[in-house]
Amino acid sequence: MNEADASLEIVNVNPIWLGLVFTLAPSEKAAFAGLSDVVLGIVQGIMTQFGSGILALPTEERQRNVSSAWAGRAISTGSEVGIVQ
Amino acid sequence: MSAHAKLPHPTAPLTTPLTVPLTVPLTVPLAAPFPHPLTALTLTLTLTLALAPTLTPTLTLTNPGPLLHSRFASNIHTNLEATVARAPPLGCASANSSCVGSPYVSVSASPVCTPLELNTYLNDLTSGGGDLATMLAGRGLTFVSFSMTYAEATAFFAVFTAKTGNLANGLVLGQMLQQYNTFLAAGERASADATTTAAKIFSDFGATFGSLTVSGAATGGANMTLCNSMADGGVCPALALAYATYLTSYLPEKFFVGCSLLGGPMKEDGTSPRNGGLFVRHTVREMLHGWDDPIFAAVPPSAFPPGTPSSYGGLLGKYAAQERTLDDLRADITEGTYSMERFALEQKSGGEDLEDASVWIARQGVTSSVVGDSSYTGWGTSGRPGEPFNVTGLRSIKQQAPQDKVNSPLNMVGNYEAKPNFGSVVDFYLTQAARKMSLSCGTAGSFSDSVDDCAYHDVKGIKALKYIIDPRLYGTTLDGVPSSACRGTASAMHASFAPATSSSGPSCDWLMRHEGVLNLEVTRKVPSALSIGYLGHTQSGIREAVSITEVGSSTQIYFDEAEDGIAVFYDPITGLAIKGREYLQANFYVEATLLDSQRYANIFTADTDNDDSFVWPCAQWRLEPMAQAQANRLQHCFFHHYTYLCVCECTDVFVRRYVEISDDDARSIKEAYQTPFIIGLVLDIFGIVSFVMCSLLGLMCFLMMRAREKKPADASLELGSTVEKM
Repeated sequence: MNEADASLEIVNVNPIWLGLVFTLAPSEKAAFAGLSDVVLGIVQGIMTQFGSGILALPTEERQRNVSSAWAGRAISTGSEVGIVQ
Repeated sequence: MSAHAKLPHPTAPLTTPLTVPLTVPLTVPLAAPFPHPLTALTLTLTLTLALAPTLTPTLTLTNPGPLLHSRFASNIHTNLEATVARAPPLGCASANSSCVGSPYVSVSASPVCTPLELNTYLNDLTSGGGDLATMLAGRGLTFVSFSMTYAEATAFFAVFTAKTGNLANGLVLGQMLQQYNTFLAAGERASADATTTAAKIFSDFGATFGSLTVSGAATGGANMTLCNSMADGGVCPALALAYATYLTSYLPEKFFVGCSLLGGPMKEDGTSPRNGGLFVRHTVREMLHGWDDPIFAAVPPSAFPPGTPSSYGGLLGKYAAQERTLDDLRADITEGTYSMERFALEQKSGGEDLEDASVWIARQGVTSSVVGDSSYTGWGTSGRPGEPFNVTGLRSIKQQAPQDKVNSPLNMVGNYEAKPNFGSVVDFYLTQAARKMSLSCGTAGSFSDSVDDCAYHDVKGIKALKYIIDPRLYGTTLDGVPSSACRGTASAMHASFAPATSSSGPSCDWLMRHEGVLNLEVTRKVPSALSIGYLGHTQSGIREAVSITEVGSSTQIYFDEAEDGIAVFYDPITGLAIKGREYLQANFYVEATLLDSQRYANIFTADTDNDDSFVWPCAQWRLEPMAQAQANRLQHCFFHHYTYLCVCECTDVFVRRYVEISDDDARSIKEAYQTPFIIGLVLDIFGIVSFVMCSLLGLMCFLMMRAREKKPADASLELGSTVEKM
């Protein structure tokens, strides 16, 4: 196989996706339902990462700045910080 | 003295100085020595407490767990989402090492593109809150708000990241609600069964329920919390349904698939920024030899079924790649990551019995397989589903039984049209399909019942018999009898999940579901199928459901027996396949029964989608004689499928390999038996000539001898005459 052919990009059905859904459950919806614990665990992990990031910031000013950046608005009160968090 | 202050949520972590106004009424009794008409003086004293950022009333902020729980429970206006890449916060440029560990860095590394928080989901009337509001409206209530306490959020994570048995608790809740819904549908909301089910739901999951505040006639127009973790005021089942939707549909489809796998909105070609999900864009090399799919990083290994590979090796496997070396394979075998058995192909030599030449003994170490074996095909040797499949004894496509009778050189020389030791139908083990296949002698639409009627074809001077597909042999049958009732309505795998599904799987021989489509779902463990090129000889509706054209052309390509049909030419004497054209096409079953998520729903909206069941071309393996210079050339076809985007073009991969006896080998075969036939003919002729000449000589000798034997008589006659004369 020459390099030009080998490097040609094509679009096709993903056998990994098909195979995983096929093996796990009768359908995509059922697979999603069956994986709900895993997906919520991923959510938990991401939010923990986010929280860890906030806590890791060394100064209160940085924490406030990051919170403001994330909220898209100036954060100045404790109540707002609580909401952002 | 008493002090009352409205603090933020008691468990909310504090990361910035908190200013808390305390309004403290002080009542100071007035007494002697200050007699006064007033008995007491009340003063209002406002104090300001500045709490350090790392302080919180009840929690230690160094633990991110409580932090996330409180955020999950109370976040109502800022969501953890990053549809648009965020600029680094002030003083936190990406190159700044001080950013390491910041939310910007951590979330940028695991981007999310949709709000995650349950609170947001339910308070957004354009999202989950809308469905909840609609349900409540059905009962004359108006949705007001939803919120969770820290304890409820904590319980939520604890309960719904766990399983009951093998089932995720989100799914368990969904099943209970489904049962509850059957009572509602029957108008039995107040029945004992409905009440019991609702009580069970609250008993098992009530600790996770946040406060659902509603208003309406039933509440006298006032806002009232009718469900929380403490009590069910009658609307907890509605909240539970919203929970189940959030867990089993919203998070998996929008967050997990939409963000983690796809990484954003779908592109026009049907693929996604992260190149995951159902449609992917990859190079031909990757299609053939594998790629690193985002699903392996997105899903924890523990979530995959046991034995699921953690990587994808492509259609041909990684060892078929040109850049792979034998040393790579040796290293993998030494490390135990690959088994040498995968290369084991055992066939009889024919030394003991010539007829057994190239008959299979075992393939990849497997002589036979039964239900439950990883190598099981799904059917028995006869094709009956569920029976043991024996590799041993099946014949290779490369070799039919060699001839064991004596051919007369007188008949052979000149045309070499020998009668084979096999019949007008030959069977062989098609390894790609993991089943026995049959080819018939004849031409399209005209097959011979007797091998004596088979026509001979010249292959490099060798007179061979041509065998092709007889479509009658690839219809759906039940115990060998043609049947369409056995096809079922879904894959065998899908049907095996009953009672979760009411679809029926195939019961036909070879688990076939459509004419001309070899169902490989059991042996390949994916919904795949094999067919002839361009879906040739498949039943009506299958080819019409897809579009197959050359690149840049709108002209449809249809199967042509003369150009694309499978044909194998066997030398009748040696039984060898000396020429072959094998256009096999790998396909996937893309079906609505399997792909039922909203994201891909529009694939199945056309009237020409073969009843929501596409046989979707993936790749063609072409084994055909061709000029060596073309052997490595790939051709590309586009398969058009209407998706909800517009048109999704999937490209087929053609893999061609050279399969025809070489000139040298043809010469060797001819020399191996044609020369002896010629010698035999010469000897026969010599023998015949010798026989004739000997016969003539014998006759002449006989006549001469007779002549000599006659002379004494003549002499006696002559002597008698002489005596008479005397």
